Amino acid sequence: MATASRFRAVERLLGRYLKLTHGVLDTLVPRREPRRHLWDLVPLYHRRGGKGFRPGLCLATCRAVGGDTRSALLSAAALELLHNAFLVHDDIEDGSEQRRGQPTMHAAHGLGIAVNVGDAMQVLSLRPLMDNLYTLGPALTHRIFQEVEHMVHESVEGQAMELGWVRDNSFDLNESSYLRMTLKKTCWYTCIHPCRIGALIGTNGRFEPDVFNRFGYYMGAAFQIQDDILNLVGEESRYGKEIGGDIWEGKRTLMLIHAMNHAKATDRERLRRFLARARARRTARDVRWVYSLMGKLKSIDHARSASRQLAGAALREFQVAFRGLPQSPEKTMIEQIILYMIERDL
Amino acid sequence: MAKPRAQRTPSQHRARNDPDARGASPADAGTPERGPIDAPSTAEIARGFGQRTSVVVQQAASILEEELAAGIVAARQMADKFMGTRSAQSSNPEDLLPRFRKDAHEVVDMLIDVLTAGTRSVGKIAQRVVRFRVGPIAGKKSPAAAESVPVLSTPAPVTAGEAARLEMSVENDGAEPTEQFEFHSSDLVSETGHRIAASRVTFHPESVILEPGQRAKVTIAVNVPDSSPAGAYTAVLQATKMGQLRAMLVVRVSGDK
Repeated sequence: MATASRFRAVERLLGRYLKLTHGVLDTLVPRREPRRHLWDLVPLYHRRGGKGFRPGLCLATCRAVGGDTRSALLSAAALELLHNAFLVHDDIEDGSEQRRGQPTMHAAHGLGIAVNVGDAMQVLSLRPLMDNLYTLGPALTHRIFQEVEHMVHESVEGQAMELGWVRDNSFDLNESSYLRMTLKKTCWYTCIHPCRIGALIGTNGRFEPDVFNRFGYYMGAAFQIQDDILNLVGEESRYGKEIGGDIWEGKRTLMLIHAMNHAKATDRERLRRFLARARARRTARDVRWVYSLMGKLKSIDHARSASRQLAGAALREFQVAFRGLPQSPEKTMIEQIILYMIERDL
Repeated sequence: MAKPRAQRTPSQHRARNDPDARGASPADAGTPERGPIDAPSTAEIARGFGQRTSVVVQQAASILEEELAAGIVAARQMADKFMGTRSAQSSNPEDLLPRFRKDAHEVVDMLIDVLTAGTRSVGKIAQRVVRFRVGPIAGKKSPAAAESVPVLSTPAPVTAGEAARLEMSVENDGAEPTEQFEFHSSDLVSETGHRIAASRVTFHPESVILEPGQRAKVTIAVNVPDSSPAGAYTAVLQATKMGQLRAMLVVRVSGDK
């Protein structure tokens, strides 16, 4: 489905902000050895594509509250570096072989080098946050560090929850479990903190950023559920990752949790046995059966409905969070991103 | 470190001469989910949400409040309360916050101790008035947001298996009418970590609209499960759309049966 025609302005503004962010990123990567197994690999993920939601939200919020996007560029670059670091490690953690249509870092360069490249991206994110000192001053720089510290802290805890469910073959999960994990793993760093940081920078620390918490959470959760849906129903060439990979991996998505909780006893037991097997021992027939079970139980429909309800809630919270701010292309973009995120097909 | 086994993708499965690999994509399982996704407008989505209570959104709201109470927001709120205690150690308020955030668990324990001590010393509390102002200017802290969070506590301990009831008054002392708003609660958590699910907390009426100067009574009922051990259970209450309207709810469950 073509979303570009409806969201052309969103994509244009996101593209502009991403280009600015990449300009800063390129200056952060050292031009020295070791190159082949480290510094030449760092730009691979961010040059491969991606929409740049996180830096885009940060810069757009900064502008929407009346700030200058240039003052938020270093922070936006740090957010994008941390995001790409998470992707490199996340691909290892869930055994993905494709990212944005190309081999993942560890698939192409080996596990050890990929782990180290992910570490390097995190290390590089420190510099722009430190350099905020020269443009934002000590108090605001410290405040941004606090925001980022909370953000990464929550993300690793959320990731641990999700990985732990797979490792422990957890079966007694519910929607609340999923929503809490998604808040911690995805929403703080994808939506909430980018908006908070942008608003703090744009108002020199005067804006009360808590107004973005619910807005960012609902939007991020809607986005994550949509991403999980695309993993099952998207087109592989556009989605960029192997379709059905989440079922292969046994990832506890909202769909899988719904199926776990609504399957009749025999199907539930078969599902439990499938999830108890190591990934290498799962078959394509099993994966298709899980997918058809989700269809029979309308688990994907349920997830799609949940994503839209959360998007609706995000739209309501947008009105609260951005109330009183003048109309601007950036404010409009942030509102439209909510629907863009859940209607995208890649 | 052991070399990881190569893992086959669905496309690699298809390359093998394996009957299981025929139509290996989940999309070939014949379910109706493939195809263009409906594209509702922004107004349709917002209207659809507003027309019915969304369980998933309520759950998300409660979870957020719990997480915030346990983390950075609780640390910020307690920083003011305990500033006097810590000021001897540091005269720079900005040094205190990282210390409070690092000791977030200790801060939450202190909050629970304060509330527990407070409920023991209070007699019957018929009702509490929670006042708020409508329509804060974006970017400026509303006066209500700067006030301490009020505590709503049951007048007497309730036995497990029974319902605790208390009343809350909400008053609009602003100059504009409110939008329709609802209340929701986080799980109640005791000092020993036992929980009473948020779904056991109900509000009557479920939603409120207030004209300027109008006051309304809201009855909060907590259906305490039979299995709840004795203790003081605490939750965060918050109103939708009114980020500054929040309160702590404390329900004391007795050990008597």
